This record gives sequence, structure tokens and C-alpha cells, in this order.
Amino acid sequence: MLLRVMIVEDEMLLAMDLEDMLRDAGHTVVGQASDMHQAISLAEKVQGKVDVAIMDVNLARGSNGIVTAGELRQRWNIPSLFVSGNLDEATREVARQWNPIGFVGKPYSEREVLTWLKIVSSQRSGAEVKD
Amino acid sequence: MTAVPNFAAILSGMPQPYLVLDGNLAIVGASDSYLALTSRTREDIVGRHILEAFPENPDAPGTVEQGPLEVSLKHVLQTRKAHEMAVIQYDIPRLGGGFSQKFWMPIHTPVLDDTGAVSFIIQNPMDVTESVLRNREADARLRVALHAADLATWEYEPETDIWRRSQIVDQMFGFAVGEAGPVAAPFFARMHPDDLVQIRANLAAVAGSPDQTAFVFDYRIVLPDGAVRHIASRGEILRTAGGKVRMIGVLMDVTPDRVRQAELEEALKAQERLLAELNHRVKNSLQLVVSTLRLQARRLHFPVTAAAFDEAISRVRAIISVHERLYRAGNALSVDMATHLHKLCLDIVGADHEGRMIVDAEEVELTPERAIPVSVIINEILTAALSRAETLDEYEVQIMRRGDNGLDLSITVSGGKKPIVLTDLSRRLIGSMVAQVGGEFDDSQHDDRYRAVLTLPREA
Repeated sequence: MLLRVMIVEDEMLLAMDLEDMLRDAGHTVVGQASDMHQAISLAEKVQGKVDVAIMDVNLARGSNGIVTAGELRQRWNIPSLFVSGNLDEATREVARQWNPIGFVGKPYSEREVLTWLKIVSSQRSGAEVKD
Repeated sequence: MTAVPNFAAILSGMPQPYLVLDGNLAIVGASDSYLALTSRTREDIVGRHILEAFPENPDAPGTVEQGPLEVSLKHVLQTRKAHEMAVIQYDIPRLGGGFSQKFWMPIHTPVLDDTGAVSFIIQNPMDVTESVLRNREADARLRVALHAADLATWEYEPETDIWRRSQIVDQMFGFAVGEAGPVAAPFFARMHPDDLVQIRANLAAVAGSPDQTAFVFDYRIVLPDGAVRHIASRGEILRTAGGKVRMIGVLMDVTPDRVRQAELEEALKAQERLLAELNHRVKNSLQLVVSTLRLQARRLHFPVTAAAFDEAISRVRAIISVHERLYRAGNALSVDMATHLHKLCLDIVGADHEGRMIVDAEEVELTPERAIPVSVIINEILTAALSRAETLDEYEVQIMRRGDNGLDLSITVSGGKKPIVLTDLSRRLIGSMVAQVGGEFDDSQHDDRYRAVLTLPREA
């Protein structure tokens, strides 16, 4: 199953790279956000129809990826895949309360990000078959 | 018929010094021996309050310890039990003016009436001046030592709360001379509430310990202006002849040490935060390098150029992936090779070949100076193997420690039909990486099996 993905990343070059990577793999990128405010607006705009948010931890204008992941999870049940250079054990522990898909350190590889998305895809397909 | 004994005469004639006080601490009688010892006449003291009959010396504060004496007497009135005091200095007025230096260990014993109330207190003052003065030399040495070490002394009697201490203790607690009185209560009131609970518990705990048990109390004082002082106190249990608990010790103002320590800890934390931030920035920048290259690579249409770009990206990734596994081991940076190689190899061969990649790595840590060349060598060989587009390849990368603490790295590719041919650039890169780590490299192809071995010397 192909996924609808939103990218929450304030480094535009990285966001572009991720977008290319996801499109090449056949997924749909619903949009990019640089901070929490933009991420919430984007989720509202697409009425929460997002399968995965790729989430950096330090976002633009001082906002925080873990808090953003919490909002997305609580309001629309959108899970996050944390992709960040700032994933020490303490940060992971705080992030785990939002039941994320996983953690990928920077510098990330295409394989790592796509492998996590494949896991989500297969879980979703399994769930759909059951439904 | 027997005559009623003349008790006044008996008291006067007692061979030991005794003073008798009533329930208001007024003097009602004294033995001749007492009068002789204190150079007073009966008319001079009888009928007067004891503290008035034996006044303070206005010219030498601290030489007449009225406070502890009064506490002891009141304690006897309250408890109706005898109280044996520790040594106090209580100078006595001389007939011709001035004061004589005197040290005492008074014992106060109550005389109870039929109802059990205290009607009199008998004081046996026990003059210990001679023995105290005999120890003057030792005391002087002790004083010099205490002064040099910036230590203040104290003695504490939990039963009466009598707290004798050098004047510097009052200063530390922010009291003016004479302001705080003879008991510890005002001092406890200035201890930090969080520490006071612990101090009380410790006091109760050590009170049951044998003599000479040493203890340590560290606490904070909160001064009236809100400033905080850190105190380190050391003491020992020393019971009176009657078995009453006394504590004797020294204390020291360690505020400057604590402040310096807190500043150092803060500086260290700031440095760690900065290091973490720097590490984060470096990883981010390295990620930008790869992402920028990939953005461009995806837009190339000539296969040769695209392949060259992919090679370059793979090399850059091999170098920078080390950063993700970099952690601090003491004062040096180290790379956890087992985790690093696992991820590196899977990233190079990609998801399609994941199932045929075996990484067998012992728990080995390398410095980045050695981890990067090792990563580059693995990348060169695996990408050369992948360029053959063989579908039957099996890959195995193994790293293990030798007996001499050096390391052996082997890369085996088997099952494919085409032999592995390294480009000139790959050979040169491998050669220079091997030279950089001071190792040896050898590779060979036999039938469908390619094997490269890198031998690393132990780390200098």
C-alpha cells in the first residue's frame, strides 16, 4: 500500500530530498511544514488524511517536533517517523509517549526511511484485509 | 531528748564547696569552703539571684558563661533531676576589683519537698581551673590549628539544648555577639528546612552510638537576608561521667567551595550542551551535503554521469555515516563498529540485497581516524561487487579482534559469475586508506569467491 506522507522538516534541502525519495518510491507527499504551526495547518487542510509524518525534532521558530508529533497523534491519530540528528536516549524516551513508528538518525539513508515506511504499508494492508 | 541539729551550721561546715539555691534561683546558703573558693562573704551573696551575685565581666565577653549555667538550673527545675554540666568558664570577681579566671564543671542536684516539687537546688561547682590551665599549651596549639584551618568549634548537649561554640559560629549563622543565647534552638531555626529534617534525624541516630563515634553533618544556613551558606560539620560523641550524651565537633564554612563546584558543574553542562549542539549541527550539515548531491543525481539523465554521482554519494555516505555512531568514551570519541558496520553494509547493498548481506562484527570500538578508512574500504569493495549486477551474490563482512589486540576485517563476496574488478580509483583509495591506518591489505578471486582481508595493527 502506498502512503500519504507529510514532511515536517525545516531544512528545505532535506525536505526536497525526502520528497524526491518518497515520490520515487511511489508514495504521495501531501505537503511540507517547517514548524508546528504549519504542520497543524497542513493536517487541517487535508482533514487529517495523512498516514505518516516524517518528523524532525528541532523545528523552525523554536518549535519542537515531539510536541508537534503529540498534536498530530491526539487530533488525527497521525503517527510520526522521527528523522533527526538529535535523538539521544532522553529525547527518544519523551517521544515514545506518542507511540512513533520509529527513529532514524541523521545522516539518514534512503533504505532506512523507506524500510520504516514499508513496515507501515504492510501493517496498513494487513489491517485493510482484516476490515 | 535530742536537740534539733543546727543544719545551717552543718552546711557551713561542709568540707566541700556547696551553694544552695531556692526555686527562684536565689542563694539561700553556702558552705565556708564555697565562700573561700569564690572569695565571697555570706552577706555578700545570700538573698541574691545567683546570676546577680556572680555577674558578667563587662570588659571580657564570654569569660562568664551565665547562659549555659542558667539553662542547666532551669532544666533541673523542670525535670527535677540532677544535671552535670560540661566545663564552662565562669570568672569570679576579685575582692580588690577585676576577675579571676575560673573553669568549672558544676553539678546541680534538686532537693524535693513532700509533693515532689523542687524546693532547693544544691550546686557543687567542681573547680577544674587547674587542670584546664595545665592543658593551656595543648589548647593553644589546637586554637592555632583551628584558626589556620578556618574551623569553628562547638559542643552540644541534646538533653538541655546547650550549645557552646566559638564566636565565629555565631558570625556564620549571622548573629551578633550575644544575640543568639546559650541554646541551639535559634541556630536550628536558621538551618535550611530541607536539611533540618535530616540533621534532626542524624542527631537522634548518633545519640544512641557509643562514645567516640564520629559523624558528619553537611547543611545549609539561610541568613535573614536570604543568602545561603554551606556548612560542613564533623563531630564525635563524648558522654559525661553520668552517661549523658554530649557531642563535640568543628564546623567549617564551605560556601566558596560549593559555589566554585556549582560553577564548574554549570560550565561543564554548558560545554556538554554546546558539544551536543555542535554534533547535531555537524550531522545536519553532512546530511545536507548528501541530500544536495542526491537531489542533483536524481535529475541526471546520462547513465555514466548518474553512475559517477552515485559512486560519489556512496563514498561521502560511507565517510559521514561514522558520525551517526560517534559517541563520547571518556575524553575521546569512539565509534561502535558492530552497529555502524551493520547499518553501513545494509545501506550500501540496499533493500534489494538486504537478505543476502551478513555482517558478523564483534563488539569493537574504533576511533573515527580508523573507523573512516575501514568504512571507505568496505564501500569500495561492496559497490564494485554491486556494479556487476549479479543476482546470486552473497556478501559477508566480518570484523574481529586478534590476540594481539589488532583487528581483522574480511569482506567476502561469493556466488556471482563475474569476477570483481576494482577501478584504478578504488585501488588507489583502498591503498591510501590502508596506509593511513598502518595496516595490510590483500584480496584474491578464486572461481566465484572474492575475498579481501584488511589487517589493522593494535591502536597505539
